[in-house]
Amino acid sequence: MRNRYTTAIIALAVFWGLTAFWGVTQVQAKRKAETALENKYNRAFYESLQRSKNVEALLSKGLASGSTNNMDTLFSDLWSNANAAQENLHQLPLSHNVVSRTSKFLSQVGDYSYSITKQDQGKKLTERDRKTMRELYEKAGSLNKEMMAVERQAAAGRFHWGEVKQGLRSNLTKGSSSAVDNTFRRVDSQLQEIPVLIYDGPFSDHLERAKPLGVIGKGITADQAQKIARRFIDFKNAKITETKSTGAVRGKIPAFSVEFHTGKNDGDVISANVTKKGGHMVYYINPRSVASIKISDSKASTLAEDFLQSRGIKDMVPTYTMRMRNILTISFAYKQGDVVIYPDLIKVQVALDNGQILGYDALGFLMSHHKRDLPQPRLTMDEARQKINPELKVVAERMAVIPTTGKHELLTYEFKAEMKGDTFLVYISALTGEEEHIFKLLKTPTGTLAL
Amino acid sequence: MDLQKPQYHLAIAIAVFLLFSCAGYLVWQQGGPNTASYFDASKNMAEASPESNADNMELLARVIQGEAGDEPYLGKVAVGAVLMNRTRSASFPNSLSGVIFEPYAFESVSNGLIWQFAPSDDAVRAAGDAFSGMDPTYGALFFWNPSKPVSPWIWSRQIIAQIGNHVFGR
Repeated sequence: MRNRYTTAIIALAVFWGLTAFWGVTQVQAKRKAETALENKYNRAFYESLQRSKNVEALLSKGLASGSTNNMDTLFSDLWSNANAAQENLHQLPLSHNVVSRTSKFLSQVGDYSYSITKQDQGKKLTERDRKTMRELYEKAGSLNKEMMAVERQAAAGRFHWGEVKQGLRSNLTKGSSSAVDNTFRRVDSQLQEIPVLIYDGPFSDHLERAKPLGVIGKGITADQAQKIARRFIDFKNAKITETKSTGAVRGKIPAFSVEFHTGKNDGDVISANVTKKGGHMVYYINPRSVASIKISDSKASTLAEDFLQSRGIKDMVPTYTMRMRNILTISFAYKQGDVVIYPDLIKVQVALDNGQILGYDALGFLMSHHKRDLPQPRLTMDEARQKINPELKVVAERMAVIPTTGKHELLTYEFKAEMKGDTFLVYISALTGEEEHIFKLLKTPTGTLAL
Repeated sequence: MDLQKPQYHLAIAIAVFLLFSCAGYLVWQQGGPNTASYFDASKNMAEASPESNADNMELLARVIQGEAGDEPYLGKVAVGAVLMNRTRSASFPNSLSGVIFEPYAFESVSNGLIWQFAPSDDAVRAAGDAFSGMDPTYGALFFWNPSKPVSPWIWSRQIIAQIGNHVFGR
């Protein structure tokens, strides 16, 4: 009996020992992982802080500098530092609402400075620019003061980034916020009143408020929207079993949503949006799968052109195509006289099994299409061709309006040119003769995509 | 000590059970989120490993699958469009991978779900459509499921549209 107890106790002790050993290794592993994560977060934070301090310093140097050349260098540095500060900020485990202003500030400071480097010599740093930069400099200063307050708390061990992680998870569901979220909120609130920045860059404030230029006409009802969509969409013999108005969309272009069911499955629903004003089709999409290719890309292109013609959308030229999952997507651009207007973009998707038009997307067209007063070119096509790198062999040329990063428009000469088997698109400004853009055409097995 | 005695059977059974569960747990722990799904998604393992040369479109398709796998096709394109819109917004990271891996931006990224299943054909096609500029949300930066608990802050956003089970806003 005694012997039996001894054995049982030994056995239990061994199991207990094993469990304890296992537990300790688990705790160690967990600590290691937490430290690794903590270090990663700290690296991102300190990187962001340092870059943000650089931004402040560079802004003041830019204000002090008297040489345009040096200013260009300073502003490109500013751009890369602001970018790095923003990138690292987003690696921190913080709720979006406590970093959004800081992030926007950093994006815009960099983007704005960069846009100045692209301005003409004479226009560089006007009095208004200097005023804006002084404001930005002050804001950067108060931002950094708060960032350093966070840094002191982190260094003093007042919080761990790991805690933020836990806090955030509950923040998402319960709405409470963590200590570090609150600390950072003070950083973000320094930037409540940043100047509105309008310039030629992708993050300029004017882009947020863009109005659709191509949406013209009288208001329509939801019923009319349904009829318009029904006439527009290529159903190709499919029987419509049900038509539904699925409400209104309150985006940049107010629109009605319509759905057509052509069967019982999820894939048998064609969705469409029609603008409330003018009853223009914004997009429609038919998600049916396409089995096998029976028609060629060029035949599909012709079908897409016929489709646009028959829907009363005229003067559109195909620009580039992409084939994916047996569907050919063709991008059409508007042509005003001899000039291709790239911002006025419509995409058409053709099923390569039976030529049905599966998708139509005119959002770009409706946002930007209007009758343009194109400026008189200050140089001829021949003069523009001289500006191209002589190593490139020009194979095609025409005039084109292209959007700048800030969605302004620029009249250019477009050259398709080749060099050592690679194809490029080169854009020379028709007003200044500057090379504005160069794209490399990537030939992929799925088609040609301009990059 | 006679191990044949019935009194020992229970002890041996418990020992074996403990040992195996410890070993099993350790293996599971070390494998991380990838092997957590080993049993239910084993046939997708080769494709689903993060080492596979996942370019941006593939990554986008995975997030679409994770966030909107059960949504109608349009809802998938819409989620993809939100990600694309974020890359163009000043208050979000400027790259697709930055947007996707922003901590706690997407639940399916946080919990590793995006690596567990290969994206469906629909998700891949939706990623392509969103990538080439289709946007049924007209510039939305947020989406959420109103029937699930969400931060009250999200309701201060301007709502643009409801597509499937998701509300889209900016």
